[in-house]
Amino acid sequence: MILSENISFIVPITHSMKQKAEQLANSFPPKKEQIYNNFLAVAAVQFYLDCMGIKTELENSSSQAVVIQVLADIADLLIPGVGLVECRPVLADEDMCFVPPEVWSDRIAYLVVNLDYDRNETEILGFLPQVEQAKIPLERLQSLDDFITHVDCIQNPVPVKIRDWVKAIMSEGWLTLEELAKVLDPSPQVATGWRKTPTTPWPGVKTAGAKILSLGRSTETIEYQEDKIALLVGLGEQSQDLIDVHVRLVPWPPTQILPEGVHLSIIDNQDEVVINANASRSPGLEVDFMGQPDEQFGVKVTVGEVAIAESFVI
Amino acid sequence: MEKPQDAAQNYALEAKKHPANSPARRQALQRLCSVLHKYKLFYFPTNARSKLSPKQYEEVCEEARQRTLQEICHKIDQYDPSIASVVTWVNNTILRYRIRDAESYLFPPKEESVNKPVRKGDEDGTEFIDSIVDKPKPGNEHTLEFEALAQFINLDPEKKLQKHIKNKPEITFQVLLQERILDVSWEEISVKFETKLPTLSSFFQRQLAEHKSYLQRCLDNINYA
Repeated sequence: MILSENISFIVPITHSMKQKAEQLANSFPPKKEQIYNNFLAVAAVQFYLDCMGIKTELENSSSQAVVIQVLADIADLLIPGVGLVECRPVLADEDMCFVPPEVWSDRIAYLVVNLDYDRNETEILGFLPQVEQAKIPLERLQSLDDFITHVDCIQNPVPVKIRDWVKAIMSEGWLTLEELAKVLDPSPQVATGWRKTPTTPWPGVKTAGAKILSLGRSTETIEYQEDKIALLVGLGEQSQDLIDVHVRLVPWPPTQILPEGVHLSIIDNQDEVVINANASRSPGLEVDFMGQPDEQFGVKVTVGEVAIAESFVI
Repeated sequence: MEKPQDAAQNYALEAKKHPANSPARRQALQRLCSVLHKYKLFYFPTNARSKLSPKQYEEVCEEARQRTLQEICHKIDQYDPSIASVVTWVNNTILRYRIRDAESYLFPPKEESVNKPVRKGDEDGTEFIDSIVDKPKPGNEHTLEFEALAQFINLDPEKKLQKHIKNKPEITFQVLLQERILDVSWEEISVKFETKLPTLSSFFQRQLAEHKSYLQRCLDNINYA
Protein backbone atom coordinates (compact mmCIF):
# COMPACT_ATOMS: atom_id res chain seq x y z
CA MET A 1 0.00 0.00 0.00
CA ILE A 2 1.31 3.40 1.00
CA LEU A 3 4.70 4.92 1.84
CA SER A 4 6.92 2.53 3.70
CA GLU A 5 9.27 5.03 5.22
CA ASN A 6 10.61 5.03 8.74
CA ILE A 7 7.99 6.05 11.19
CA SER A 8 8.46 7.52 14.61
CA PHE A 9 6.00 8.98 17.07
CA ILE A 10 6.63 12.52 18.26
CA VAL A 11 5.35 13.62 21.65
CA PRO A 12 5.74 17.32 22.46
CA ILE A 13 7.08 18.01 25.96
CA THR A 14 4.39 20.02 27.70
CA HIS A 15 4.67 22.27 30.70
CA SER A 16 2.96 19.76 32.99
CA MET A 17 5.32 16.94 31.92
CA LYS A 18 8.29 19.16 32.74
CA GLN A 19 6.79 20.17 36.04
CA LYS A 20 6.24 16.58 37.18
CA ALA A 21 9.69 15.50 35.98
CA GLU A 22 11.25 18.39 37.86
CA GLN A 23 9.35 17.63 41.02
CA LEU A 24 10.44 14.00 40.99
CA ALA A 25 14.04 14.87 40.08
CA ASN A 26 14.30 17.38 42.90
CA SER A 27 13.38 14.77 45.46
CA PHE A 28 16.82 13.23 45.04
CA PRO A 29 19.23 15.84 43.70
CA PRO A 30 22.28 13.57 43.23
CA LYS A 31 20.41 11.63 40.53
CA LYS A 32 18.50 14.57 39.14
CA GLU A 33 19.45 14.08 35.52
CA GLN A 34 18.64 10.36 35.39
CA ILE A 35 15.32 10.80 37.18
CA TYR A 36 14.34 13.70 34.92
CA ASN A 37 15.21 11.88 31.68
CA ASN A 38 13.62 8.61 32.75
CA PHE A 39 10.43 10.36 33.78
CA LEU A 40 10.09 12.12 30.44
CA ALA A 41 10.75 8.90 28.51
CA VAL A 42 8.08 7.10 30.52
CA ALA A 43 5.62 10.00 30.16
CA ALA A 44 6.16 10.09 26.38
CA VAL A 45 5.54 6.37 26.04
CA GLN A 46 2.49 6.62 28.27
CA PHE A 47 1.09 9.31 25.96
CA TYR A 48 1.93 7.27 22.86
CA LEU A 49 0.22 4.17 24.23
CA ASP A 50 -2.82 6.23 25.20
CA CYS A 51 -3.06 7.46 21.59
CA MET A 52 -2.91 3.84 20.47
CA GLY A 53 -5.72 2.94 22.87
CA ILE A 54 -3.43 0.90 25.13
CA LYS A 55 -4.06 1.42 28.85
CA THR A 56 -1.15 1.83 31.23
CA GLU A 57 -0.68 2.06 35.01
CA LEU A 58 2.00 4.54 35.88
CA GLU A 59 1.42 4.27 39.65
CA ASN A 60 2.38 0.60 39.68
CA SER A 61 5.57 1.08 37.70
CA SER A 62 8.87 1.01 39.58
CA SER A 63 10.11 4.03 37.65
CA GLN A 64 7.93 6.26 39.82
CA ALA A 65 9.61 5.36 43.12
CA VAL A 66 12.52 7.67 43.83
CA VAL A 67 14.40 5.05 45.80
CA ILE A 68 14.39 2.75 42.76
CA GLN A 69 15.93 5.56 40.71
CA VAL A 70 18.61 6.03 43.34
CA LEU A 71 19.64 2.38 43.41
CA ALA A 72 19.00 1.46 39.80
CA ASP A 73 18.32 3.02 36.44
CA ILE A 74 14.78 1.90 35.65
CA ALA A 75 12.16 3.48 33.38
CA ASP A 76 9.36 0.94 33.26
CA LEU A 77 5.68 1.34 32.51
CA LEU A 78 3.05 -1.29 33.20
CA ILE A 79 0.49 -2.32 30.57
CA PRO A 80 -2.01 -4.26 32.71
CA GLY A 81 -2.53 -7.79 31.47
CA VAL A 82 0.38 -7.51 29.05
CA GLY A 83 3.51 -6.69 31.01
CA LEU A 84 6.16 -4.06 31.54
CA VAL A 85 7.59 -1.93 28.78
CA GLU A 86 10.93 -0.29 29.43
CA CYS A 87 11.21 3.29 28.11
CA ARG A 88 14.86 4.09 27.48
CA PRO A 89 15.83 7.72 26.96
CA VAL A 90 18.52 8.74 24.47
CA LEU A 91 19.72 12.31 24.12
CA ALA A 92 19.71 14.19 20.83
CA ASP A 93 23.36 13.58 19.91
CA GLU A 94 23.60 9.93 20.88
CA ASP A 95 23.63 7.06 18.39
CA MET A 96 23.55 4.31 21.01
CA CYS A 97 20.90 3.56 23.57
CA PHE A 98 22.05 2.55 27.03
CA VAL A 99 20.07 -0.32 28.55
CA PRO A 100 21.34 -1.08 32.05
CA PRO A 101 21.53 -4.75 33.14
CA GLU A 102 18.95 -4.22 35.88
CA VAL A 103 16.24 -3.98 33.22
CA TRP A 104 17.25 -6.95 31.08
CA SER A 105 14.60 -9.23 32.54
CA ASP A 106 10.82 -9.17 33.01
CA ARG A 107 10.10 -6.77 30.15
CA ILE A 108 7.87 -7.43 27.15
CA ALA A 109 9.44 -4.66 25.10
CA TYR A 110 12.02 -1.86 25.10
CA LEU A 111 10.94 1.42 23.52
CA VAL A 112 13.65 3.94 22.77
CA VAL A 113 12.76 7.59 23.26
CA ASN A 114 14.87 10.41 21.91
CA LEU A 115 14.73 13.47 24.17
CA ASP A 116 15.25 16.66 22.21
CA TYR A 117 15.29 19.48 24.74
CA ASP A 118 16.13 22.10 22.09
CA ARG A 119 12.96 21.34 20.17
CA ASN A 120 10.99 20.58 23.29
CA GLU A 121 9.86 17.24 22.01
CA THR A 122 10.44 13.54 22.43
CA GLU A 123 10.48 11.04 19.61
CA ILE A 124 9.74 7.36 20.05
CA LEU A 125 12.18 5.83 17.61
CA GLY A 126 11.48 2.13 17.73
CA PHE A 127 11.57 -0.95 19.87
CA LEU A 128 13.27 -4.21 20.70
CA PRO A 129 11.47 -7.26 22.11
CA GLN A 130 14.42 -8.15 24.32
CA VAL A 131 17.80 -6.79 25.24
CA GLU A 132 20.84 -8.43 26.72
CA GLN A 133 23.55 -5.90 26.19
CA ALA A 134 24.11 -2.48 27.64
CA LYS A 135 24.59 -0.52 24.44
CA ILE A 136 22.19 -0.83 21.54
CA PRO A 137 23.03 0.91 18.25
CA LEU A 138 19.91 2.80 17.21
CA GLU A 139 19.94 1.26 13.73
CA ARG A 140 19.16 -2.11 15.33
CA LEU A 141 15.75 -0.94 16.50
CA GLN A 142 12.64 -2.52 15.04
CA SER A 143 9.80 -0.35 13.78
CA LEU A 144 6.83 0.88 15.77
CA ASP A 145 4.64 -1.15 13.40
CA ASP A 146 6.43 -4.24 14.69
CA PHE A 147 5.83 -3.03 18.24
CA ILE A 148 2.07 -2.85 17.63
CA THR A 149 2.09 -6.39 16.23
CA HIS A 150 4.22 -7.59 19.15
CA VAL A 151 1.77 -6.20 21.74
CA ASP A 152 -1.17 -7.65 19.84
CA CYS A 153 0.41 -11.12 19.85
CA ILE A 154 0.73 -10.92 23.63
CA GLN A 155 -2.80 -9.56 24.14
CA ASN A 156 -4.42 -11.95 21.68
CA PRO A 157 -2.26 -15.02 21.49
CA VAL A 158 -2.94 -17.33 18.59
CA PRO A 159 -4.31 -20.50 20.14
CA VAL A 160 -2.06 -23.55 20.09
CA LYS A 161 -3.48 -26.21 17.76
CA ILE A 162 -3.21 -29.41 19.79
CA ARG A 163 -4.36 -31.68 17.00
CA ASP A 164 -1.25 -30.74 15.02
CA TRP A 165 0.75 -32.51 17.69
CA VAL A 166 -0.70 -35.82 16.48
CA LYS A 167 1.06 -35.15 13.18
CA ALA A 168 4.22 -34.46 15.19
CA ILE A 169 4.01 -30.74 14.40
CA MET A 170 4.85 -28.99 17.62
CA SER A 171 3.64 -25.42 18.10
CA GLU A 172 6.23 -22.73 18.80
CA GLY A 173 7.46 -22.89 22.36
CA TRP A 174 6.07 -26.39 22.88
CA LEU A 175 8.06 -29.58 23.29
CA THR A 176 7.20 -33.23 23.01
CA LEU A 177 7.58 -35.15 26.27
CA GLU A 178 10.73 -36.78 24.87
CA GLU A 179 12.20 -33.36 24.14
CA LEU A 180 11.21 -32.24 27.62
CA ALA A 181 13.11 -35.16 29.10
CA LYS A 182 16.16 -34.15 27.09
CA VAL A 183 15.99 -30.61 28.39
CA LEU A 184 16.27 -31.99 31.88
CA ASP A 185 19.33 -34.02 31.15
CA PRO A 186 20.64 -34.91 27.73
CA SER A 187 22.39 -38.07 28.98
CA PRO A 188 20.33 -41.21 28.26
CA GLN A 189 20.92 -42.97 31.62
CA VAL A 190 18.73 -40.47 33.38
CA ALA A 191 15.78 -41.58 31.27
CA THR A 192 15.01 -44.27 33.83
CA GLY A 193 14.87 -41.74 36.64
CA TRP A 194 12.72 -39.56 34.48
CA ARG A 195 10.14 -42.33 34.15
CA LYS A 196 9.46 -42.15 37.86
CA THR A 197 8.40 -38.56 37.57
CA PRO A 198 4.74 -37.63 37.24
CA THR A 199 5.01 -36.68 33.58
CA THR A 200 5.47 -40.04 32.00
CA PRO A 201 3.95 -42.53 31.46
CA TRP A 202 0.70 -40.65 31.26
CA PRO A 203 -2.25 -43.06 31.40
CA GLY A 204 -4.89 -42.46 28.76
CA VAL A 205 -2.84 -39.90 26.88
CA LYS A 206 -1.90 -40.54 23.26
CA THR A 207 -0.34 -37.23 22.24
CA ALA A 208 1.07 -34.59 24.52
CA GLY A 209 3.00 -31.36 24.50
CA ALA A 210 4.81 -29.50 27.24
CA LYS A 211 5.90 -25.97 27.92
CA ILE A 212 8.15 -24.72 30.69
CA LEU A 213 6.63 -21.66 32.30
CA SER A 214 8.88 -19.26 34.13
CA LEU A 215 7.17 -17.80 37.16
CA GLY A 216 9.98 -15.40 37.87
CA ARG A 217 9.27 -14.99 41.55
CA SER A 218 11.48 -15.41 44.53
CA THR A 219 10.73 -18.34 46.75
CA GLU A 220 9.75 -17.91 50.34
CA THR A 221 12.98 -19.39 51.54
CA ILE A 222 15.99 -17.19 51.87
CA GLU A 223 17.45 -18.56 48.66
CA TYR A 224 16.48 -16.86 45.48
CA GLN A 225 15.79 -18.78 42.35
CA GLU A 226 13.50 -18.56 39.39
CA ASP A 227 10.50 -20.81 39.98
CA LYS A 228 9.54 -22.86 37.01
CA ILE A 229 6.60 -25.09 36.33
CA ALA A 230 5.93 -27.39 33.40
CA LEU A 231 2.50 -27.24 31.77
CA LEU A 232 1.57 -30.47 30.01
CA VAL A 233 -1.42 -30.85 27.76
CA GLY A 234 -2.42 -34.26 26.45
CA LEU A 235 -5.05 -35.65 24.12
CA GLY A 236 -6.59 -39.01 24.96
CA GLU A 237 -9.24 -41.27 23.53
CA GLN A 238 -11.62 -39.93 20.94
CA SER A 239 -15.16 -41.27 20.98
CA GLN A 240 -17.45 -39.96 18.27
CA ASP A 241 -17.16 -36.18 18.54
CA LEU A 242 -15.55 -35.98 21.96
CA ILE A 243 -11.90 -36.09 22.87
CA ASP A 244 -10.37 -36.46 26.32
CA VAL A 245 -8.18 -33.51 27.21
CA HIS A 246 -5.70 -33.73 30.09
CA VAL A 247 -3.98 -30.69 31.59
CA ARG A 248 -1.21 -31.26 34.08
CA LEU A 249 1.12 -29.04 36.06
CA VAL A 250 4.36 -30.49 37.33
CA PRO A 251 7.23 -28.87 39.18
CA TRP A 252 10.28 -28.08 37.10
CA PRO A 253 12.67 -29.76 37.42
CA PRO A 254 10.36 -32.68 38.33
CA THR A 255 12.39 -33.76 41.36
CA GLN A 256 10.96 -30.79 43.25
CA ILE A 257 7.44 -30.01 44.42
CA LEU A 258 5.02 -27.39 43.12
CA PRO A 259 5.43 -23.97 44.70
CA GLU A 260 3.04 -22.73 47.38
CA GLY A 261 -0.45 -21.76 46.21
CA VAL A 262 -0.64 -22.96 42.62
CA HIS A 263 -3.98 -22.34 40.96
CA LEU A 264 -5.06 -23.89 37.66
CA SER A 265 -8.17 -22.82 35.75
CA ILE A 266 -9.69 -24.04 32.53
CA ILE A 267 -11.54 -21.34 30.62
CA ASP A 268 -14.08 -22.10 27.89
CA ASN A 269 -14.54 -20.23 24.61
CA GLN A 270 -16.97 -17.81 26.31
CA ASP A 271 -14.21 -16.77 28.74
CA GLU A 272 -16.01 -18.52 31.59
CA VAL A 273 -13.97 -20.45 34.14
CA VAL A 274 -15.23 -24.03 33.96
CA ILE A 275 -12.72 -25.89 36.11
CA ASN A 276 -10.69 -24.68 39.08
CA ALA A 277 -8.00 -26.62 40.89
CA ASN A 278 -5.49 -25.74 43.61
CA ALA A 279 -2.33 -27.32 44.88
CA SER A 280 0.39 -26.48 47.34
CA ARG A 281 3.73 -28.19 47.66
CA SER A 282 2.43 -31.28 45.93
CA PRO A 283 4.17 -33.33 43.23
CA GLY A 284 1.63 -32.37 40.55
CA LEU A 285 -1.85 -31.20 39.65
CA GLU A 286 -4.09 -32.54 36.89
CA VAL A 287 -7.53 -31.80 35.48
CA ASP A 288 -9.32 -33.71 32.70
CA PHE A 289 -12.28 -32.79 30.57
CA MET A 290 -13.90 -33.62 27.25
CA GLY A 291 -13.86 -31.34 24.26
CA GLN A 292 -14.97 -31.30 20.65
CA PRO A 293 -12.67 -30.93 17.67
CA ASP A 294 -12.00 -27.23 16.87
CA GLU A 295 -13.28 -26.18 20.28
CA GLN A 296 -11.21 -23.48 21.97
CA PHE A 297 -10.19 -23.42 25.58
CA GLY A 298 -7.76 -21.55 27.78
CA VAL A 299 -5.51 -22.54 30.65
CA LYS A 300 -4.59 -20.07 33.33
CA VAL A 301 -1.87 -20.79 35.86
CA THR A 302 -1.63 -18.49 38.85
CA VAL A 303 1.08 -18.57 41.50
CA GLY A 304 0.91 -15.69 43.94
CA GLU A 305 0.81 -12.52 41.85
CA VAL A 306 2.08 -14.16 38.70
CA ALA A 307 -0.50 -15.33 36.16
CA ILE A 308 0.26 -17.07 32.89
CA ALA A 309 -2.41 -17.79 30.30
CA GLU A 310 -2.26 -20.08 27.29
CA SER A 311 -5.00 -20.69 24.77
CA PHE A 312 -5.63 -23.81 22.72
CA VAL A 313 -7.81 -25.19 20.00
CA ILE A 314 -8.54 -28.90 20.01
CA MET B 1 6.88 10.32 -4.77
CA GLU B 2 3.55 10.52 -3.07
CA LYS B 3 2.69 13.96 -1.68
CA PRO B 4 2.68 14.15 2.12
CA GLN B 5 -0.94 15.38 2.13
CA ASP B 6 -1.98 12.37 0.07
CA ALA B 7 -0.04 10.01 2.30
CA ALA B 8 -1.77 11.47 5.35
CA GLN B 9 -5.13 11.11 3.63
CA ASN B 10 -4.45 7.46 2.80
CA TYR B 11 -3.40 6.64 6.35
CA ALA B 12 -6.54 8.29 7.72
CA LEU B 13 -8.78 6.28 5.36
CA GLU B 14 -6.85 3.14 6.20
CA ALA B 15 -7.30 3.76 9.93
CA LYS B 16 -11.04 4.28 9.51
CA LYS B 17 -11.36 0.96 7.69
CA HIS B 18 -10.30 -1.07 10.72
CA PRO B 19 -11.98 -1.44 14.11
CA ALA B 20 -10.78 0.56 17.10
CA ASN B 21 -7.74 -0.96 18.84
CA SER B 22 -6.99 -3.33 15.96
CA PRO B 23 -3.30 -3.53 15.03
CA ALA B 24 -4.08 -2.31 11.49
CA ARG B 25 -5.77 0.84 12.81
CA ARG B 26 -2.99 1.50 15.31
CA GLN B 27 -0.37 1.18 12.60
CA ALA B 28 -2.23 3.51 10.25
CA LEU B 29 -2.74 6.06 13.04
CA GLN B 30 0.91 6.16 14.02
CA ARG B 31 1.86 6.57 10.37
CA LEU B 32 -0.61 9.41 10.07
CA CYS B 33 0.85 11.17 13.13
CA SER B 34 4.36 10.53 11.84
CA VAL B 35 3.62 12.10 8.44
CA LEU B 36 1.87 15.11 10.01
CA HIS B 37 5.00 15.84 12.04
CA LYS B 38 7.60 14.94 9.49
CA TYR B 39 6.14 17.18 6.78
CA LYS B 40 5.03 19.90 9.18
CA LEU B 41 1.37 19.62 8.30
CA PHE B 42 0.26 21.22 11.56
CA TYR B 43 -0.54 24.88 10.88
CA PHE B 44 -0.09 27.15 13.85
CA PRO B 45 -1.59 30.64 13.54
CA THR B 46 0.95 33.39 14.12
CA ASN B 47 1.23 34.77 17.58
CA ALA B 48 0.73 38.36 16.32
CA ARG B 49 -2.64 38.99 17.91
CA SER B 50 -1.91 37.23 21.17
CA LYS B 51 -0.44 38.97 24.20
CA LEU B 52 1.80 36.03 24.95
CA SER B 53 5.58 36.12 24.79
CA PRO B 54 7.15 33.88 22.12
CA LYS B 55 8.19 31.49 24.89
CA GLN B 56 4.67 31.31 26.27
CA TYR B 57 3.19 30.86 22.83
CA GLU B 58 5.57 27.97 22.16
CA GLU B 59 4.32 26.34 25.32
CA VAL B 60 0.73 26.80 24.17
CA CYS B 61 1.57 25.17 20.84
CA GLU B 62 3.20 22.17 22.50
CA GLU B 63 0.20 21.62 24.73
CA ALA B 64 -2.19 22.02 21.78
CA ARG B 65 -0.15 19.70 19.55
CA GLN B 66 -0.21 16.99 22.20
CA ARG B 67 -3.98 17.24 22.71
CA THR B 68 -4.47 17.26 18.93
CA LEU B 69 -2.50 14.04 18.45
CA GLN B 70 -4.59 12.38 21.11
CA GLU B 71 -7.80 13.57 19.49
CA ILE B 72 -6.79 12.42 16.00
CA CYS B 73 -6.14 8.94 17.35
CA HIS B 74 -9.20 8.69 19.57
CA LYS B 75 -11.68 10.33 17.21
CA ILE B 76 -10.65 9.18 13.76
CA ASP B 77 -14.13 7.68 13.31
CA GLN B 78 -15.56 11.19 13.44
CA TYR B 79 -13.48 12.29 10.48
CA ASP B 80 -15.67 12.51 7.37
CA PRO B 81 -13.58 12.39 4.18
CA SER B 82 -16.52 13.67 2.09
CA ILE B 83 -16.35 17.02 3.92
CA ALA B 84 -12.64 17.80 4.05
CA SER B 85 -9.16 16.37 3.72
CA VAL B 86 -7.65 14.94 6.88
CA VAL B 87 -5.11 17.77 7.03
CA THR B 88 -7.95 20.32 6.98
CA TRP B 89 -9.88 18.33 9.58
CA VAL B 90 -6.83 18.21 11.87
CA ASN B 91 -6.07 21.91 11.57
CA ASN B 92 -9.51 23.50 11.35
CA THR B 93 -11.56 21.21 13.52
CA ILE B 94 -9.04 20.20 16.16
CA LEU B 95 -5.78 22.13 16.42
CA ARG B 96 -7.35 25.62 16.19
CA TYR B 97 -9.55 24.91 19.21
CA ARG B 98 -6.87 23.16 21.20
CA ILE B 99 -4.69 26.27 20.82
CA ARG B 100 -7.47 28.41 22.28
CA ASP B 101 -8.02 25.90 25.09
CA ALA B 102 -4.32 25.74 25.91
CA GLU B 103 -4.05 29.53 25.91
CA SER B 104 -6.84 30.00 28.40
CA TYR B 105 -5.72 27.04 30.47
CA LEU B 106 -2.03 27.87 30.70
CA PHE B 107 -2.32 31.66 30.70
CA PRO B 108 -5.78 32.62 31.88
CA PRO B 109 -6.87 36.25 31.37
CA LYS B 110 -6.03 38.31 34.47
CA GLU B 111 -9.55 39.01 35.75
CA GLU B 112 -10.33 35.29 35.90
CA SER B 113 -7.16 34.33 37.64
CA VAL B 114 -7.57 36.16 40.94
CA ASN B 115 -7.39 32.97 42.93
CA LYS B 116 -5.05 31.06 40.69
CA PRO B 117 -1.32 31.36 41.07
CA VAL B 118 0.12 33.28 38.14
CA ARG B 119 2.70 31.33 36.20
CA LYS B 120 6.15 32.74 35.93
CA GLY B 121 6.30 32.37 32.17
CA ASP B 122 9.86 32.34 30.97
CA GLU B 123 11.41 31.17 34.19
CA ASP B 124 9.80 27.76 34.16
CA GLY B 125 10.98 24.25 33.31
CA THR B 126 13.17 25.08 30.34
CA GLU B 127 15.70 26.83 32.48
CA PHE B 128 15.75 23.78 34.71
CA ILE B 129 16.42 21.54 31.71
CA ASP B 130 19.31 23.77 30.62
CA SER B 131 20.77 23.55 34.07
CA ILE B 132 20.73 19.78 34.18
CA VAL B 133 21.87 19.28 30.63
CA ASP B 134 24.91 21.51 31.06
CA LYS B 135 25.84 20.10 34.39
CA PRO B 136 28.33 17.23 34.55
CA LYS B 137 26.91 14.01 35.97
CA PRO B 138 26.66 14.42 39.70
CA GLY B 139 29.18 12.37 41.63
CA ASN B 140 27.91 10.02 44.28
CA GLU B 141 30.53 10.92 46.85
CA HIS B 142 29.70 12.29 50.25
CA THR B 143 26.23 13.50 49.72
CA LEU B 144 23.82 13.42 52.59
CA GLU B 145 21.32 11.27 50.73
CA PHE B 146 23.74 8.61 49.68
CA GLU B 147 25.28 8.38 53.11
CA ALA B 148 21.93 7.97 54.79
CA LEU B 149 20.86 5.34 52.31
CA ALA B 150 24.19 3.50 52.46
CA GLN B 151 23.96 3.43 56.23
CA PHE B 152 20.41 2.11 56.10
CA ILE B 153 21.50 -0.65 53.71
CA ASN B 154 24.43 -1.61 55.93
CA LEU B 155 22.23 -1.74 59.02
CA ASP B 156 19.22 -3.36 57.33
CA PRO B 157 17.20 -2.75 60.51
CA GLU B 158 14.49 -5.26 59.64
CA LYS B 159 16.81 -7.78 58.00
CA LYS B 160 14.90 -7.75 54.75
CA LEU B 161 17.88 -7.50 52.44
CA GLN B 162 19.37 -10.89 53.26
CA LYS B 163 17.97 -13.07 50.50
CA HIS B 164 20.74 -14.59 48.43
CA ILE B 165 21.19 -16.23 45.06
CA LYS B 166 20.73 -19.98 45.16
CA ASN B 167 23.84 -21.87 46.28
CA LYS B 168 25.71 -18.59 46.71
CA PRO B 169 25.00 -17.45 50.25
CA GLU B 170 27.64 -14.73 49.96
CA ILE B 171 25.68 -12.92 47.21
CA THR B 172 22.84 -11.31 49.13
CA PHE B 173 20.68 -8.46 47.94
CA GLN B 174 22.37 -6.31 50.60
CA VAL B 175 25.83 -7.03 49.18
CA LEU B 176 24.68 -6.08 45.70
CA LEU B 177 23.12 -2.88 47.00
CA GLN B 178 26.38 -1.99 48.72
CA GLU B 179 28.22 -2.35 45.43
CA ARG B 180 25.61 -0.55 43.35
CA ILE B 181 25.32 2.44 45.63
CA LEU B 182 29.03 3.02 45.07
CA ASP B 183 28.35 2.85 41.32
CA VAL B 184 30.43 -0.29 40.87
CA SER B 185 29.60 -1.55 37.38
CA TRP B 186 27.68 -4.79 36.84
CA GLU B 187 30.66 -6.12 34.89
CA GLU B 188 32.95 -5.62 37.87
CA ILE B 189 30.42 -7.17 40.26
CA SER B 190 30.05 -10.13 37.92
CA VAL B 191 33.80 -10.73 37.88
CA LYS B 192 34.14 -10.22 41.62
CA PHE B 193 31.44 -12.77 42.51
CA GLU B 194 32.16 -15.12 39.60
CA THR B 195 28.51 -15.09 38.60
CA LYS B 196 26.87 -14.31 35.29
CA LEU B 197 25.79 -10.73 34.95
CA PRO B 198 22.13 -11.41 33.95
CA THR B 199 21.70 -13.71 36.98
CA LEU B 200 22.88 -10.92 39.26
CA SER B 201 20.93 -8.11 37.63
CA SER B 202 17.67 -10.02 37.37
CA PHE B 203 17.89 -11.06 41.04
CA PHE B 204 18.69 -7.47 41.97
CA GLN B 205 15.83 -6.03 39.94
CA ARG B 206 13.20 -8.30 41.45
CA GLN B 207 14.45 -7.83 44.98
CA LEU B 208 14.42 -4.09 44.43
CA ALA B 209 10.81 -4.17 43.29
CA GLU B 210 9.91 -6.32 46.30
CA HIS B 211 11.55 -4.08 48.87
CA LYS B 212 10.95 -0.68 47.36
CA SER B 213 8.71 0.61 50.16
CA TYR B 214 11.17 -0.58 52.83
CA LEU B 215 14.01 1.30 51.16
CA GLN B 216 11.87 4.32 50.35
CA ARG B 217 11.18 4.82 54.06
CA CYS B 218 14.82 5.68 54.59
CA LEU B 219 14.72 8.40 51.94
CA ASP B 220 11.48 9.82 53.26
CA ASN B 221 13.23 10.62 56.51
CA ILE B 222 15.87 12.80 54.89
CA ASN B 223 15.23 16.50 55.04
CA TYR B 224 16.35 18.33 51.94
CA ALA B 225 15.79 21.82 53.29
